[in-house]
Amino acid sequence: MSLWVDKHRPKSLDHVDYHQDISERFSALAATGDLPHLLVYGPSGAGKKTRVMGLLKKLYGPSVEKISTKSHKFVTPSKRELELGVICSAYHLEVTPSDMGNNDRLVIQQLLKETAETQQVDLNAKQRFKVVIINEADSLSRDAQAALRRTMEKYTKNIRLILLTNSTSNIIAPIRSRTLLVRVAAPTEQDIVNVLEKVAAKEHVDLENTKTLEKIASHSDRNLRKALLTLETLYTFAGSKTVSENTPIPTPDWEMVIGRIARELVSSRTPATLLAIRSLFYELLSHCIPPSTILKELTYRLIPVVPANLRVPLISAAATYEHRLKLGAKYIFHLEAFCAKVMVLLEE
Amino acid sequence: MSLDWGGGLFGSGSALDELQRVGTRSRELPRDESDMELSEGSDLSMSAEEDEGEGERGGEEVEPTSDPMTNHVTQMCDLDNHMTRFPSPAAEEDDFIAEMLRANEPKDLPASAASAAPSRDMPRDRTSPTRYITLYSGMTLSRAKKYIKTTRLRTMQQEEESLKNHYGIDVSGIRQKLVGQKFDSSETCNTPNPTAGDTGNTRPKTASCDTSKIPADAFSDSRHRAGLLVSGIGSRDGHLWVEKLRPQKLLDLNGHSDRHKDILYWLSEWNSFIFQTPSQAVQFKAKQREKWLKKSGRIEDAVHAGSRGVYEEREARDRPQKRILLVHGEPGTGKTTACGVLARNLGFNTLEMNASDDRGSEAFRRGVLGPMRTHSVTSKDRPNCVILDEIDGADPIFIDKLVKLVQRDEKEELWHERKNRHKKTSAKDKLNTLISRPIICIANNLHGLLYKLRPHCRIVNYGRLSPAQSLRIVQNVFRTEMKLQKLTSKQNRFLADICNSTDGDIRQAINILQFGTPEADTANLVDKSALWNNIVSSLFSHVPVGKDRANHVENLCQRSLRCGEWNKLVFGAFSAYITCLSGAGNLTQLTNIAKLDDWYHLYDLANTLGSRDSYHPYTLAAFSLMFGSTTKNHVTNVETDYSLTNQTQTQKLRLNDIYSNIPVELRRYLNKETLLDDLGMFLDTMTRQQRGVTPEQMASLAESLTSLGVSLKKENVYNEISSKREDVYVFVPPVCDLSRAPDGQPRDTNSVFLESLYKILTPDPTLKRPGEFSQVQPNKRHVAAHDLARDPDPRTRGGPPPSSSTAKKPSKSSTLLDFFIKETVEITPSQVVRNEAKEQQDTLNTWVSYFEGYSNAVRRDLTWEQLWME
Repeated sequence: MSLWVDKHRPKSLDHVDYHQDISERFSALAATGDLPHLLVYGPSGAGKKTRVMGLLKKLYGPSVEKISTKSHKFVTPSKRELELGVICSAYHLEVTPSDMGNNDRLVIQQLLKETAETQQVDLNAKQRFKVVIINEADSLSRDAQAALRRTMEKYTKNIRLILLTNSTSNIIAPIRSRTLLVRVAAPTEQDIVNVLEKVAAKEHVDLENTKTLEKIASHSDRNLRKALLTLETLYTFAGSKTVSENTPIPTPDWEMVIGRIARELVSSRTPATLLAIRSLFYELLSHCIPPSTILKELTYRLIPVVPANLRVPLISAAATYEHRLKLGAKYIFHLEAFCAKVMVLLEE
Repeated sequence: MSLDWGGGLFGSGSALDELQRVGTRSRELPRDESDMELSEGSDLSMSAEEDEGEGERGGEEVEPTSDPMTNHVTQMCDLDNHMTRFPSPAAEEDDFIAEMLRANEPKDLPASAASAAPSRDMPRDRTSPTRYITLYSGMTLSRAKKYIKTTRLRTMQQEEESLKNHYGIDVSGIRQKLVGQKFDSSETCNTPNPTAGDTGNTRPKTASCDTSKIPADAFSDSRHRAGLLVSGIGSRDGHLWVEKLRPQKLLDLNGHSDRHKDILYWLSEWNSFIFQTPSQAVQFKAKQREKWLKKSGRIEDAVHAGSRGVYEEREARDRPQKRILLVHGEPGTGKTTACGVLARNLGFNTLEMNASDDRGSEAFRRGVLGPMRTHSVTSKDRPNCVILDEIDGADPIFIDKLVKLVQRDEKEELWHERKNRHKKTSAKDKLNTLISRPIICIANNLHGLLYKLRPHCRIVNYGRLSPAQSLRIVQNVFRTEMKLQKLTSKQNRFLADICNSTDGDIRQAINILQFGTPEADTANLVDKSALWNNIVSSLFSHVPVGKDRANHVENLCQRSLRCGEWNKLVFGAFSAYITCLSGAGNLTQLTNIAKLDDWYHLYDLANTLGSRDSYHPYTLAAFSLMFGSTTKNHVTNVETDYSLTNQTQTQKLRLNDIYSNIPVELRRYLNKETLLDDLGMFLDTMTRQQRGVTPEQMASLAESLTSLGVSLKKENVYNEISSKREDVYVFVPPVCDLSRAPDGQPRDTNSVFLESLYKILTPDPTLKRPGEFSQVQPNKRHVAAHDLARDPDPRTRGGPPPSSSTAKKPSKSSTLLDFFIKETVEITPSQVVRNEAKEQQDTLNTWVSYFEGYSNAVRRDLTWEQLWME
């Protein structure tokens, strides 16, 4: 038994619920018997990995789902030994760069070379090449990406790369030019509702009407995984009762805190408020909420409550400070300055 | 040339140390004379040559050293042998010196035989290294002094150049002052004719003429000053106050007293295992057994049991629950000291491994596994306690091995537990791979490599000391070192300044203190204007107008450049400016605040990109120009982003733990970055305390938790508030409180909810292993039980004999036996009294069994008499 997210994950491209065009394209790709390097990007919870796995299944058949974890050993130039767990089947392997830390360049080089230099032994294999999936490819360091680009060309005979990432902005241009870019957009709310309905029916969830599902979908940030997890949570604690429209949807505490910040910002515009807000910011940051997420959420919460003529300057300010956040390292300065800026806007 | 000299100094310095060490060693170990002669001779001839050159350059008179060298050394060895006869060198030193003087007289100073006698009466300096020089290198004292003086002078000059004003304290100024002093004293020391008072009297004489009148205290003071100088160059450890005043005894420990208690508590949990001082329950059990044996007429057996001692078997579970203690905290808060002192005080022999040692797999075997099984020769039969200092810098392999050791230990213990329950094993065939000695790890931070180790450790946090705490310690140090009864307010202020500027780092504070205390005019020694908290305070003072304005800014920039701790300065200013704002806030103030970000941005960007700090002062100046006010504000407590980074790291680590614990099938679809966003919330809601949860809900909850690799563990934790040990349920990995409301309290533990969840997640271990029981034939067990009753092995754990219970209810025997063995270990006081009362009476082994499902169920033996009476 497992989580619903896992249990009801579509097992092949034919069963995928939305973005049929991508499935069709993937099916077509698999049918040609060859595969370009792929760069699949899209927000989290959109179904990138699910589709890629579907593609692999089309390419190699069901045996690609027999996965195991192998640990590879690497020796850094400074003679330190590293161990990295790699998920692999007979036809593909998956790596996550954040597991490798600072040595990702080395790992990428050695691992790919190793894989590329051994030919496919299995004569029954449908394809001559192996697939290497790199999760979170945007967290690869520049060095590692640079190391990747020549390898991609040199060993095309034996390996194909599939890079999974949230956005292409951190992928260097040479790699982008060597890959086929596939965008998996976040599902629309209607898509999410459809999926939720299907799952609810399979799990025999008592539903009053689809309004609940719509509510869940609208709270999920168009993240299907989040929506399914929410549904499961609701179901677990609703027990024998039916899941109704009025069932409160659990929101993360940090979102509520940001809501509070927004309210306080608008209601009282004094330095004392700033001081109070600062401590909240500190807490949020210490809980690993990314500062850019805080800023974004705060802006979204502010937009409905500020007068219409202030919305453009507000967004412009948010953009400015977001830029500064990205450039710098002392986030708290910029978050506070944004609040001050909002206060100034409101005062004027 | 001067560079060579620097090397020469350190070289000869270490040679000097070596000499001393040889000296002390020779007291302990008998050594072959000729052997010694050889090695020493060769060493010394080298340094002697060097000395000669130096002596000539200095224009000092040169004694003939080359020829009598070997003779001299032989004599020295005689002296050494002579020394070995005295058990305590300190008490015998005077005799020793007298002996030495006599030996020296005829050779070096034939003319001064007469003057040697009075010099013996003078107070002598026992700690000065110079004596050893005279003794071993065969130079005369005057030459030795000259030698030391010149070498010191040269290195000091070199060091001066490299000194900076750290913590706003003008170290080089102090240095210079001290150098001046030292010269005076050494000059006076050398000016009187060398033949008069020089035979072995080595103390630096500030006033050689009226020695007799000077009280002992004054001597120690002048000596102390010399010591200060020596320590400044770093030639001798003992003179650094930090080392000299390092706590040696339990009572000396300062600082985090509650944390010390934590360590002490953990270490004392080892007592029953290592020192075999039993816990009370076990003690009682043994006594009971002895009584029972006596009563049942088997006196020999009873005596036997008594003589064999209670602790035949050292139970693996008598150790603390976590076998490794992990102490972490800021540098300079006394982690290493506390661990060392506490371990030694509890009777351990401490073995320390730190970053200076090689820490690969070989070192692990030698340094960690070795001490587990052996006693070191010098430890006087004390058990070892391994202290792994600075473990955060260790090789990953080292930590891996440590983790594996713990895991193996846990497995082994489980195995023993099971084995013990059903089969009696001898004490010898266990404890092979168990961790049998305490291991203490010390680290500055828990992040990075240590995350694997953390779950297996009891963790003690040594936080930053508050300025008040550190002030108390520093005051103590100052008083002891300066021999003062009371401190003047000026001195107090000086100490407070030091403490404030060092931010709870005691080591740093004492170091500064040592170099900054010599004279009364302490005010000049600390450049107060460059202390960061003072700068921050003055940022918000009044800003003059007109021409002075530029001067003011210029002054601020200069001061902050001298301070140089930009992070502290900027964060100090940042956290202080709002509190310094007056009034309810108007538009200009708000605009200013918003504008300030341009400056932050400049600072932040420059800092991140690692550009030079030349623009940083202007960020501070901006603060001053925007928020400088007429009101005088003194900024005292200023937060930096340090704690923030620390907390963020902890949270990241927690997420990492959770991530790596999720089964691969699911994990491959998850992204570490967005984990908190989707899964974090889910986990948080799922583990939240729920009221009125139905069993089905519980089951599905448990199911989803298991599929995420989350489990619930029961831990027996010492509760500081109620000062009791309590059962606490902990999620592993720590999914609870992931996105707790920032200002909210940690959730109150609803033990009922967790308990029921625990039961679902971890089925009862006694029910879990039906296979083991079924393997044992019932009649076999029966026989075994009877055997036990007839000839009770002292190693059996059960207090009251299990025989009758098995005899009466053979069908249930196995579970009963199991149940009772487990039960009798924890005997409540009331039971104890009752049982003891029963022991007094004649037992006929009649058992009445009460309802067993009830928790108060007690089995007690009754006599027929009692039965009829009632």
